[in-house]
Amino acid sequence: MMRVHILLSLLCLLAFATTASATATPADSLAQAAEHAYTAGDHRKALELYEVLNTQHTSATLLYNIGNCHFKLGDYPQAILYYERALRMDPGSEEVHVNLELARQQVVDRMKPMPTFELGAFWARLRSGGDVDSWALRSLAAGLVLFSALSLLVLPAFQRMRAALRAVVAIAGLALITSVGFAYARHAAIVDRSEAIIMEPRIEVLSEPRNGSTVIFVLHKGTKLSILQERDVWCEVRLPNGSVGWTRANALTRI
Amino acid sequence: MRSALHTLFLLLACFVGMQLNAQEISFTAKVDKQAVVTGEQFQLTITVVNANGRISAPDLDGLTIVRGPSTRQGSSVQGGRAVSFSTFTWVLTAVKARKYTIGPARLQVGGGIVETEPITIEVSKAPGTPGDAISAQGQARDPNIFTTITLSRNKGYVGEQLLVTYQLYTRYPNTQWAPFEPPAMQGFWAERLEMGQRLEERTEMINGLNYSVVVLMRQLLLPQRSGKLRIEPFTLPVVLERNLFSSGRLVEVKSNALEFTALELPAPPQDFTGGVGELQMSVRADRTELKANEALEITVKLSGKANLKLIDAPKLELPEGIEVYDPKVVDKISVSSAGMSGSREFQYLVLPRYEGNYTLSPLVFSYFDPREGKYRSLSSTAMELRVAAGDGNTAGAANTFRPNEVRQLDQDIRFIRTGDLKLRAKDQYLFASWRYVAGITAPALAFLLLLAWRRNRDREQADVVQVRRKRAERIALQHLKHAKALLAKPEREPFHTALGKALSGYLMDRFDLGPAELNASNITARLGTIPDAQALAKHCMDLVEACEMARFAPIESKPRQVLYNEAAELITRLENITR
Repeated sequence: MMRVHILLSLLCLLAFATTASATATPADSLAQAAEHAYTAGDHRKALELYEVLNTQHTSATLLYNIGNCHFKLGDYPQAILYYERALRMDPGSEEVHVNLELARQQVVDRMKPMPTFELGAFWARLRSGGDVDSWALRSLAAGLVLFSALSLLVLPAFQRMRAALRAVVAIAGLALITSVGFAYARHAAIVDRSEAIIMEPRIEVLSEPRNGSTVIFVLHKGTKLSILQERDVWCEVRLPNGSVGWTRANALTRI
Repeated sequence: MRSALHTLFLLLACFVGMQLNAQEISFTAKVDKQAVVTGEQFQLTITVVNANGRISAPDLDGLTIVRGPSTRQGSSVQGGRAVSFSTFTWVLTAVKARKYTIGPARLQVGGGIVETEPITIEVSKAPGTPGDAISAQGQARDPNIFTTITLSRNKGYVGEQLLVTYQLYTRYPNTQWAPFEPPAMQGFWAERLEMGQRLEERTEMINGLNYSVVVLMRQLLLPQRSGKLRIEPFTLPVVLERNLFSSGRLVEVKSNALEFTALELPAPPQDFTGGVGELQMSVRADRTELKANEALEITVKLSGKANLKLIDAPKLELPEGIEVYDPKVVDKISVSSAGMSGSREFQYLVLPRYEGNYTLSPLVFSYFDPREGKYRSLSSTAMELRVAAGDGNTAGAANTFRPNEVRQLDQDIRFIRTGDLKLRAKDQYLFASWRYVAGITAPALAFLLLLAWRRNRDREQADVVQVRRKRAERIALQHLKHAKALLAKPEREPFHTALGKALSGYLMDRFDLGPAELNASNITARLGTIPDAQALAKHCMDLVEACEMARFAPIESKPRQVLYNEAAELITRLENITR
């Protein structure tokens, strides 16, 4: 029985590993061409090539490189958009943070962001120790270890190893919960589309979803907003400083 | 005042050089009008005919002498006789409306005195005499010269224009005065009116006296605060009676003081910037299509008759992202006795910083209309502004107007990541995929299956023991029944064999023991914690052994019936214990 179950897990891992490596070959030449173009200073061509890549594929690195192309071409809102997308996939990347900060300096609006929760920052750092797939793999491994140890614990032949097996079960259980939690959080962050970047030169944030209502704020391109809800052509948005208002949805691009 | 007027009266001593004619002396006084209004002039004429003597002037009872007396003498021949006459004429006026009685004039002629008849003059109030209002304080000292301050109105709103006139009244023919310095105005904004080259001079009659009036200065006043505003008197040094022979005398003429009541404006609207009067507004922009960071000029022109010089720039409400500088003010204002009028222009330099289409909301400007006593509001039309992208990016522009933010010039983004891009298919993540779910549930399922299998086997094993134990009593009873049947038979051996089988079989089934395991200690262990387990186990084994022995022993150690009873009793007892 136990043999069957180990086999099954291995099969799963193998299946994942093959899909991961299968994508590499056809895209490589494109990536190399883009790299050459960028190095040569032809940022527009590099951007085109990277965008072709991005139609089918994605990665934190690819998004970061696209962001760099936009930055070099002077399209700072797009650069910010792609850096933010890269951060979604790899929150710990220093390069992305540095470049995003530079891109943000080109944005007109300055807002005091709301203070981040300390514990939240700690968790963010901890879970940035791997992307969503590595956390998923870790959770699979932890699950494998946990249930193997539990199975052994049930069998009479391993009665003498009970204490050691129990310790293994406890550790593996904790590891499973944590890794599933992190994988979930990272996955949620990647699929989360609630934030957006302003793409129009200047937008007005109104108090109501209606033309001519009171203008609460005027914002400029490149500023990041949270979208709370959408109604027809209007979006309810939250500013980094916590203020809430309505603006037209077509002025925003979701991260 | 009355005493002052009294001093005016000249006691007239007049010698009429005339031959005393014995006959036909006449001495009469008459007036040309007996009913006048205040300020109206009338003549008093005293006529002496054929007399020569000393005339004393009549008591004028407070009437003011405008001119006179003027004398005329003449003679004529009437009826062959020479007639001589003298007339004394006064031009008089009355200040107050009442009945005046001109007393008798006296003529000393010869040894006697001749008197005229008293004359009564009825003086009624003239409609609106200006002379009364001017309380000539200067007259207290010298009624022939005084100065006045007059206001075009003595009550008005804050900011409402009024005119103040400084005048010199003099009856001296040759009056010279120092350059006029207007008094300091507390609570007023004052603007001096341009005067012509020539002196503004006219003649005015006050209290029956002709004054030459000179306008010293006119000022436009704008009250700056509400309440009672006092205009202090001014002092004008004047030189009188200067002529060829005399250097004249210096007199300081002090004017009257005035009080002006400035009414507070009602609560102003937000867009009120101080304008009081009648105003029109026009707003225009020199262009409406331009590039970011290029300037345009928006001109707000206010024109009309108002306190233009005191109107502050209206606030230009512009959308966020458009900078506006403090306006340049261009005035075309004239100040005349009609007041302040003309136009004031505010030229705003406007600088849109970012591209986009802007709607400039209408400019609303409020001013106070003192005639209506309320605010009026003027509004321009909305303006559309199209701002194209400027030369250089807008972000660069953002830096130019934020001088406090110093940026490192040689800063640049980091280079792209080269080499393996670690590409992956879009939106295909292991987490939450069917593979992940299978991978995480498969070990769990396997474990659960193992657990179930193990449970099942345990249950099955437990069932075997249970069945055997349930069967034990039934089999034992069958064996006992068989033994009981054999009890009556003479052969001992089959009975003992049956009884032994019944007993040992029962014990083995009952306690789940194999034939080799049937001994006292195992039974004790299976019996568990009942009090005399050891004794009971020994009793069981003793009985089994007794049956075994009896099978082969030549004699019966115990009667068969006793043995049977003991075995049956033991089985009953064990059943009772362990149920």
